[in-house]
Amino acid sequence: MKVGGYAGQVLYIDLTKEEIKKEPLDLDMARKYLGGFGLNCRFAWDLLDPEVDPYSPDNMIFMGMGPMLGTAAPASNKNSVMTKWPSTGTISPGTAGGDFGINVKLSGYDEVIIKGRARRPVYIKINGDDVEILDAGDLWGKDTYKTTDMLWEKEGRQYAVVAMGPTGERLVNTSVCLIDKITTWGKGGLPAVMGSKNLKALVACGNKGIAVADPVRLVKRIRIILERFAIHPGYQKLVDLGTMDGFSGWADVHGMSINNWTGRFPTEEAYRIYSPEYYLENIKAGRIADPTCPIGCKDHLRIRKGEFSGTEAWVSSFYGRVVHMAARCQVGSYENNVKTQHFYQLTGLCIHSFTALIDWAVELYEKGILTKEDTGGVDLKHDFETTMYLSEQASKKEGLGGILSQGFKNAIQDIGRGCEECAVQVKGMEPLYDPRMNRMSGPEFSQVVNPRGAHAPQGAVTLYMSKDASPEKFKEWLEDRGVSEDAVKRIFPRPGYFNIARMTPYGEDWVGFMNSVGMGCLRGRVDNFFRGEDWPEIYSAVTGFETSLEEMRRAARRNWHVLKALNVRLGFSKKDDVFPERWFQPLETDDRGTLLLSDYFGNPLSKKDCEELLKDYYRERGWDARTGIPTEKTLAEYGLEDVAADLKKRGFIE
Amino acid sequence: MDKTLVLRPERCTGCHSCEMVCSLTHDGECNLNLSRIGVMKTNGGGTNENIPVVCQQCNDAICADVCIMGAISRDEATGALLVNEDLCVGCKTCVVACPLGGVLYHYVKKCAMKCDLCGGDPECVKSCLYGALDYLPLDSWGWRQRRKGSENLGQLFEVVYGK
Repeated sequence: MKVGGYAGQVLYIDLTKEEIKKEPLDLDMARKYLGGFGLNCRFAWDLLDPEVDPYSPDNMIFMGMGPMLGTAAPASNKNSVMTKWPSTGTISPGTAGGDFGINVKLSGYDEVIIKGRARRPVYIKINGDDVEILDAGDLWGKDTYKTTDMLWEKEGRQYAVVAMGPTGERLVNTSVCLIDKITTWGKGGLPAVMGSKNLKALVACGNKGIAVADPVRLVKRIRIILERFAIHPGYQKLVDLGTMDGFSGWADVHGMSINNWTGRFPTEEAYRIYSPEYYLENIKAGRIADPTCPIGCKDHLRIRKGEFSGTEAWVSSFYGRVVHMAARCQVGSYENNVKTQHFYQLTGLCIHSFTALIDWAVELYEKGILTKEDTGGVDLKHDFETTMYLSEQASKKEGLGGILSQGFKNAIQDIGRGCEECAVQVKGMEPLYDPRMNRMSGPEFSQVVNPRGAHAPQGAVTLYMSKDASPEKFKEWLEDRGVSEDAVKRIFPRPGYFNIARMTPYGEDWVGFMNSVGMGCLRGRVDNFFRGEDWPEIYSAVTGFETSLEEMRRAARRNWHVLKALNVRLGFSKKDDVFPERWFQPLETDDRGTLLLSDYFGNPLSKKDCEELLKDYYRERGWDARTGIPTEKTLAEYGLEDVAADLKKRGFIE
Repeated sequence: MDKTLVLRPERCTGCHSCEMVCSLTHDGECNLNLSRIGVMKTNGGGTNENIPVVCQQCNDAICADVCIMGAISRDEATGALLVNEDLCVGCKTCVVACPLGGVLYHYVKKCAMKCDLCGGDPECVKSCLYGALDYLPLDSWGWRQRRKGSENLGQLFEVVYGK
C-alpha cells in the first residue's frame, strides 16, 4: 500500500552536542496519535522529564507537523509546538499557521525535537536532507523583522523563518516567535525557551514532495470543499475583512471587558474608533493567507495618517490584537493601536499575555498596591503612554514592566502585597472571554479546564457560531462531527437546553484533532465551510489509511487524555481548574446594564453551579469527578495502559 | 477562441494552493519544486507583495526555438506549449532561455517541465478562490485589461486634477 501524508522521519537536534539525528517515524504510533499536537503529546510523555526546569537545556521543544501539512487539502497549515512553558509551568501546545510547517514537511520530517543549549547563539537550517546548526552571532540583539530580513538575505526568500526578538534573548516569558514576520507562535514563552538554548531562529525550505495515496480522491474532495467557499454569499467579505470580520461580534454582541474585568468596552466607542470602514481605508494594506487557506485572514498593515504614518506591520489575528489594545490598554486611536502592535511584533512581546498584565498593573496602581516607587515615578493609566512605557520595560526586562513580563505566576510572587486578589488568571494564563458578557459557552468554560491555562481558542468551535444560534444548531454540529448519540443525549438533557460542560470536551477534541492532522481552523470561520465527512475522506485520501469520523474522534480524545496526563504528572488537578473570583462579581456596564455570570441561556450561575459544571466536564471525559484526573479505566479504554501505570506508580491515581 | 492564463498579482495572498494542486495533479504528490506555477514572495508575502510566475505560452516561443530536439510543440486545441518527455534530453537550454521563468527542470523525470494548461481546464485556476488566477478567452481578457487600465487612469486623473 502506498502511504501518503506522513513524511516518514523524526528529526532530533541536540544543541549541546551539536548532533543531528534522523529516525524513521513509527507509523503505528503516528496513526494512533494522528500527528502534530497528538504526536507532540506522546513524544513529550515519553521523552520529557516532568520535573525539568523550563529554562534548562533538558527542556525540549517538540514541533509537530501533521499528515495534512504540505498537501493541497484546504487550510492544511497548522504547526503545533509543545514544551514546558516558563510562564505557567504546564506542558501544553501552541499552534500557528505560516509557511514553516509545510517546509519542514517538504524537507521530509513530521516532527522536530530540539534539546540542549548551544555554546553560542545559533540558528537551525532545514533544507531537505541537509540540516545544519549555524552561527547566529550577527542576529543576536536584532528584532524579529531585522532577523527575518537578514536570514532571507542570506538564505533566500524561499525559506520560511521562525524568529524570536530581543524578548526571547532576555528570557521574557510573555513572548512569542514570529513566522515570516507575521504569525505568532508559542504564547507562554517559546522565545524564552529558545533563548535559554541560545537558539535565535529556525529556517526551513522543503525540496521534496509529500506523497498523496489517492490524488484523484483528494482533488475531488478539494473541489467539493472549495465550492462551498466560492458560492457562499459572505465569502468575499471574509476575505476583505480577515479576522476583523469578527468586529461587530465584539462591538455589538458580546464585547470585551475593560478596567481589569470591571466594565465593558462601550459599543458606540468601538464603532467610533475602530470601525471596519476606517480599517479598510486607513489601516489595511494587504491580505495574507496561510498555506492552502481559502480565507486568508492575516493582515499587512500600513498606517496612513498621523505621526505614525508609514509604520508597516504584518500580523495574524488582527482582530484580537485590536481588541486587546483597545479594551485592556485603552490606547485610543486606531493608529496608536497599530503602533503598539508594531512594537510588540518587533520585540516579540505577546499581546494576549502582556496587555492583560498591564490592565492588572493599572488597577494595582489605582488601588495603591503598586506605588510610584514600583513604577519608576510614572503614573499608570489605561492609555497609550503607559502601555508603551511598560511594554518597553518588558522588552528590556527592566523595572515594573520586567516583573510583569514574567507572567502572572511569577509576577504575583514578585509583587506580593495581596496583588493576586485582582489577578484574573487561570493556571497563570490570562482569559480572553468574559462569560458575564458572553455567557458560558465553550471557550469561556474551556478557559477554566484547559490544561494549558486560560486558553480560549482550543475551547470549542461551537462558540464561534453566532450568539443567537439555537441549541438545535449546536446539536447539528455535534452530530455532523461524529459525536455519538449517547453523548448528544447527555449534552441535551431536555429540549431547548444544553449542558456546556458536557459539550466542551467535543469542541476541545475537535480543535485538538485539527491541530493533530495539521489543519487550520480560524475558529469557526473555516470550520463552518467543512462537514464532518470531509475529514476522514481527506485523511484517508492523503494517507491511504482508511478511517472513519468515529475513529478520528477516538484518536482526538486519546490525545487530550495524554495532554491531561502530562500535566497531572506535574501536579495539576481539579484544584487548578478555578473560576476567576471576579467572574462572580456583577459586571457594571455603560450600555448593557448589570451583567451576571450566566449559562448560555441567560440563567445565572452560582459558585455551586460552576462546581457542578466542573464535575460534569470531568465525568464526560471519563475522569475522576473529585480530582479531575483521568481514571485508570478510561486510559485503558483508549489504549493508554502505560500512561495509567505511570500515574499510578507516582500516586496520582489509586 | 484561445484562452490565456491571466495573473493578478494584486490578489495573490501567497497561499500556495495553486502550487500544491499543480504538483498533485501532474505528479501525484505535493511538491513546491514540481509545480509548474510558482508564487514568488517578497517581504511578508501579502497581496501586492507576491508574484505568481508561470509559462505565458508565447506565440513566438523561445523555449521551442532553442530546443535542439524539437521536444517543445504547440497543442493546437488549447494553445499550450507541451514538452514531449520522450524527446527531451534534459539539456535545460529552454529553462535558461525563458526570460519569464516559465520553464523548469523536473528533477525526478530528468526533463523539462512547464505549464500544459491541464488540457484546457487549469487546476490552479480552480484552486485560487482569491481570483489571482483566471483562465479567459483572449478577446474578453482584452476588455478586462482595458477596464483595469481605465481604473488606473481614473486614479491618475484624480491625482492630477484633484477630486
